[in-house]
Amino acid sequence: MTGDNDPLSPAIEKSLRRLYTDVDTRINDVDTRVKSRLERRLVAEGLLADKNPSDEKNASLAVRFWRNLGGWRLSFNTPIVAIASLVVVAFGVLFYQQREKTLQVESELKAAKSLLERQEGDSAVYAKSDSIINAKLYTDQADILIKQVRDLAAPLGMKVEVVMEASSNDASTSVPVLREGQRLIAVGPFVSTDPKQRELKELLELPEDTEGSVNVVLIEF
Amino acid sequence: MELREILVRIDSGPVGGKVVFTEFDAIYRKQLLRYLLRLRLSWEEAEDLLQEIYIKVFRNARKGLEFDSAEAWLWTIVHNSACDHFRKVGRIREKEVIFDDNDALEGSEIPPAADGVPGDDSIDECVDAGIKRYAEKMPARATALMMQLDGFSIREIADRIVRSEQATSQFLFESRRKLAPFIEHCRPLIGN
Repeated sequence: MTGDNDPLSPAIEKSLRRLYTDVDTRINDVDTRVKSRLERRLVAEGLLADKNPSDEKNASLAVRFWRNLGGWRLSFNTPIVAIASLVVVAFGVLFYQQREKTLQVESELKAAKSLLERQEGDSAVYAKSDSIINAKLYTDQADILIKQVRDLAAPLGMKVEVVMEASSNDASTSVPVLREGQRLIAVGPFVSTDPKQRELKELLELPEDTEGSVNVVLIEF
Repeated sequence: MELREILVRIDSGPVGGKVVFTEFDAIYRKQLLRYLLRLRLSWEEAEDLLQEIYIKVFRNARKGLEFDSAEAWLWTIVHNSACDHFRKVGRIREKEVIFDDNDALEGSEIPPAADGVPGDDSIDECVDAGIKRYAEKMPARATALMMQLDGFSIREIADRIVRSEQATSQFLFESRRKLAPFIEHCRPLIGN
């Protein structure tokens, strides 16, 4: 390095090599430790997946078979997984729609109750009621009727709520719209021409054109 | 495997990166460590810096593919990481770089040749002591000279010290010249 014929050149070269020999030896000595630290750091930084390919080679036959089976099953079942996902989504949508419908019915029932509470005088109640069952029932018959209505309505996704009931105490005061022995029930919504809905309408003496509404029914007993 | 190919595979995502890490590591870890340690970094400093360099390579592989020479890109990262480290620990000033003509790592004062150093009885011992002082004072130049001894071409050294080939030749020439005061006094020992 100090010239082609310079006798110092070989000595310099030897010295430089000697100087760095310990460096090279040390690098070789700690080879595995440095590598694993680098690997861990890259995994921690999210730049490397936390799975060593050598794991696969070292894994027992049974483990490798199981992994392969898992991979095969996953690829084999991909369409099934997709269909299952669609079914789950469809159920989700149906559940959501059902929930929306329930909320709507509850909202209509509240509105019906609120409307009735604002009315004064019997005529107003009758005017807002879609049906009047004025056959003279006994109290227990009225309960049976309401139960019968509930049983018919429930499978149809309809709600039945006793929105107002007069008693001997409040007949003339707090609930002026109802006389003693009268109950108002709200039923709905009527959303189809299902034969069972027709049966319900007949039972409650509701008109045919009650589509899409909650009906308030006066039961007198 | 070429570095460019390794970068393409790193860029394809962390899952495929595991195999490519092994490839990259097998080719470059020792080279990089040797380079950093020859710059007189402590073992801990070199290992920390090595981790940072790996992270930069794995995080910015796509950027490396934009360079004509992926090797040059890699060694630029190494060079800049070393410069950043030296700036942080105050071994070079803000705008200086290692492998600088102004001897950024070397300081302004070049020590006179040590004569009569105890124990310098043979040419080997004398040169050993001189080289050691030289490497301590001018680690970047000693590293470049060692690369030349290791058989690297001027092009390869140029990539590693982030200079043009012409500037690298000049740098090596200057490095040899600057070595002289450290070993001149050994000349009378030739033949011992």
